Amino acid sequence: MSLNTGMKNVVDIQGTLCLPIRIFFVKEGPSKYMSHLDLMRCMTRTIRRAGVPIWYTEGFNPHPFMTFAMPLSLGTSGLCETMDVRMTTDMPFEEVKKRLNEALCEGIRVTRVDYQVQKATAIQSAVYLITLTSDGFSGMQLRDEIEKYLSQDTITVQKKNKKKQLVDMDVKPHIISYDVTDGGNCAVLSIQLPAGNDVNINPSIILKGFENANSLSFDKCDIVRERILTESGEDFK
Amino acid sequence: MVRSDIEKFLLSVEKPGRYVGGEPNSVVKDKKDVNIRFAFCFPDVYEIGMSHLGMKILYGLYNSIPDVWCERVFAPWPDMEEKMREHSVPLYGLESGDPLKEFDFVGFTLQYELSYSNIFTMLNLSDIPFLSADRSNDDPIVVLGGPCVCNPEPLADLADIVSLGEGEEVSIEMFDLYRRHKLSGHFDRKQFLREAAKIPGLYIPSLYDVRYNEDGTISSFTPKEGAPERIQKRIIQDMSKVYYPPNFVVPIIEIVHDRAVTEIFRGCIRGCRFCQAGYIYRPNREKDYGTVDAQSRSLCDTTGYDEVSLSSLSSSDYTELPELLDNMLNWTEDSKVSISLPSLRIDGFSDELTEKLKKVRRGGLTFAPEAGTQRLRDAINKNVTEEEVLNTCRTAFNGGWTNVKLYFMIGLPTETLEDVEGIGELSQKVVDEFYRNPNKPKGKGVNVTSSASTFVPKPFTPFQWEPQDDIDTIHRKQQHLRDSVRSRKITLNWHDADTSFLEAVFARGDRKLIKVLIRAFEKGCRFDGWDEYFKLPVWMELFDECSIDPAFYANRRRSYDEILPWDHLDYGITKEFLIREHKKALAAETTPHCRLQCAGCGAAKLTGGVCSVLKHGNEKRG
Repeated sequence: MSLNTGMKNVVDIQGTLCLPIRIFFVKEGPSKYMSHLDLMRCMTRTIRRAGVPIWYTEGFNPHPFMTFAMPLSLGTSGLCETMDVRMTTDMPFEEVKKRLNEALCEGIRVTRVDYQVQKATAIQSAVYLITLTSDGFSGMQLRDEIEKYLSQDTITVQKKNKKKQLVDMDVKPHIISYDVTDGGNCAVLSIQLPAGNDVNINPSIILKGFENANSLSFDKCDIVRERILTESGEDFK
Repeated sequence: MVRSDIEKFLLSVEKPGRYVGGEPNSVVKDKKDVNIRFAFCFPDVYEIGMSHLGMKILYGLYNSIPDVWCERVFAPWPDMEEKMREHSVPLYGLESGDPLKEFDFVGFTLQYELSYSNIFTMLNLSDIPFLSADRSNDDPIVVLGGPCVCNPEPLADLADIVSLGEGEEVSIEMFDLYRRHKLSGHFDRKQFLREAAKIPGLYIPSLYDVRYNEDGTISSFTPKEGAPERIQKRIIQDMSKVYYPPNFVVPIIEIVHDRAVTEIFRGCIRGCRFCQAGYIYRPNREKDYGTVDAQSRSLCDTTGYDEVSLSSLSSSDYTELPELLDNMLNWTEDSKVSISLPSLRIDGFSDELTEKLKKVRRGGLTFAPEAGTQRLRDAINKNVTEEEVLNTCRTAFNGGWTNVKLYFMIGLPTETLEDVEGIGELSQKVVDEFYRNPNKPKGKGVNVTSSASTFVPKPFTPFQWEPQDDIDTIHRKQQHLRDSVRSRKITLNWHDADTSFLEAVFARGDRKLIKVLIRAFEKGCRFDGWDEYFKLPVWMELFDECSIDPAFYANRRRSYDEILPWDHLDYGITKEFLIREHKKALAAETTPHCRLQCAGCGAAKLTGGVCSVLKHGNEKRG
């Protein structure tokens, strides 16, 4: 592995190596019940247990320098989560991955370690795979109802604004694409929604809107963020 | 592992991470290799229970035995309990997701009296009968342990086994006996319990008959079926050699004490007369500093924690503290680990220690003068003078600290309104000390936070015969305290008197109280230690309904010759000693600590630690 990455800031002000790397991981199972703050604590401890040489911030209260491109909501699984850190030695990426996987808790698994090729601001959208069941509905019935709901000209849902008040919004123009299929006893919805700094739509507000519009509630509502995409429609890397 | 039947409602409860398990270092075993399944139950919420060191030690120890599998269980928060009932989900072990009824042992740790009602919730959610007498061979053995079992009588009819004292050795003996009985193919619960009664430290309440006098006091306490007359608590002789967990389960959600913890000693040399822990954990036994250092380092490596707390009843009494801190600072600074040193005594705060502590941590300093006047401090044997309090604060202010917390108690035996005023006066003197200090930090004010909790008389203390002040008296004293504090530099906190009253009832309760606890569960009492759930009026109704006068337990002065509900339990210390100490308290006379002079408390018969060092003194006093 070469350190000639073409990236800036590979040494800190004291001359210590601080190589920016991106850790791609899956978060599912029990770990999906970990909040974002919990995840940061968990990752800090995992890195310490794993003995991966991580760069700490300078100053009064040094802590590992660590950022996440797209925090995941509590209860949602993610297959392409990323965490950016800096390493203080030239440890091979495969070794970093192996060490972290040995130290991680159930449900979090590192899939890949790489350089930080793109900036987090490149993220434009995300694809979610959502499995839904509701008592008294077959997969086909549920699929038809969801199809009907999503094909409306306007879809009014409630979203929290910055003051944490619920306000009505039309989410229809934001839905980039969707596909809903019959999964037997469930309906399976694949939906692409804006994500990132400018517009960010959480699929749960659409599901909530659907529940309210149809006076039903889902018994199972399993949301998996499958892909995080850039403007060109390619996976964020 | 996450049970699939909870997933559909898990996102509708607060902090679902409490209920899913799967944390690093949690232990999952293959059931076919396991003979003994133990459910370690902490009758409070996950974040509290996971902070408890005793559970971490026993969890590690039990799981180190190949055919024993110990799992963790906590009380579900009321929102979760409601959902579990709605969906018929039984209470389960976090590691396997299996219902408690499938376990061989269900063990509860009794850390505080106000958690008792949760035990009933947890048994009920597991479909395990409340009373030992109602359980069959198929039900788990219900074991109680922890500090409150020094008077387990309110829960005596619930317990199959009560384990007295420290659990590391006795539980292994209990498992060995159980394994023999279980693998024999014809397990009989009653026979197993009779055999268990022969293991020192195990108390089987069903093997004792209690009779009462007309006035409600105990007239006799009789063993049957060969059970011993008195049951002696167990202790670990050598703290440096006893098992200590090489790792902790690292929670995935934030818990109350989210850090590595290493014990530096058990027991306390001091003998403050209000403090149950100061008596029931005797004798004082230290772990050598090399062991503490190595264990701390190992724990930080295996958990990833960046803070390690050195745990004991009084850190500054640790004889090797300077050596320990020097050794630890060698590696903690490089690996960015901070050390915390709780429970510092006022008189143990030297300049040298301050220097080291500055490297260790910043933040507030907490000291416990406990009482506002010298007379009362002498009566409770705190052995701290006002001069020492002020000296320590001066040292701290010199070292740059601006926040000091002071802990006091209201309602101590012999307390007068003058003593209550003394709390405010001492706090004021600390404030004055700050402004008198030429080296005080520039541009900063001082903040003294004085907290006054309500005294609860506890078994195995010299105050075990004392009445607790009734709630009205406590309220009057709290008001008086508020009136006596003038400075805005002093923040005053006081503790709710209602919860302390209920605590006092159960701390010195007897077997008659179990019916109140069962009714309390039925009436919906949960999490009584939590202000948002505690309702004294409901409890008062229950006492009334059960024709029990709570004041009989909390506010009555007992005589020295009364048979106390815990008299058959032997914690080493003798009643003669406690009577001696009680009389000295009334005369405001102090007793030197164990290292200065043996007070002949009786714990020396347990041998070990400070008692072995001072054996000569013990023999002299008999």
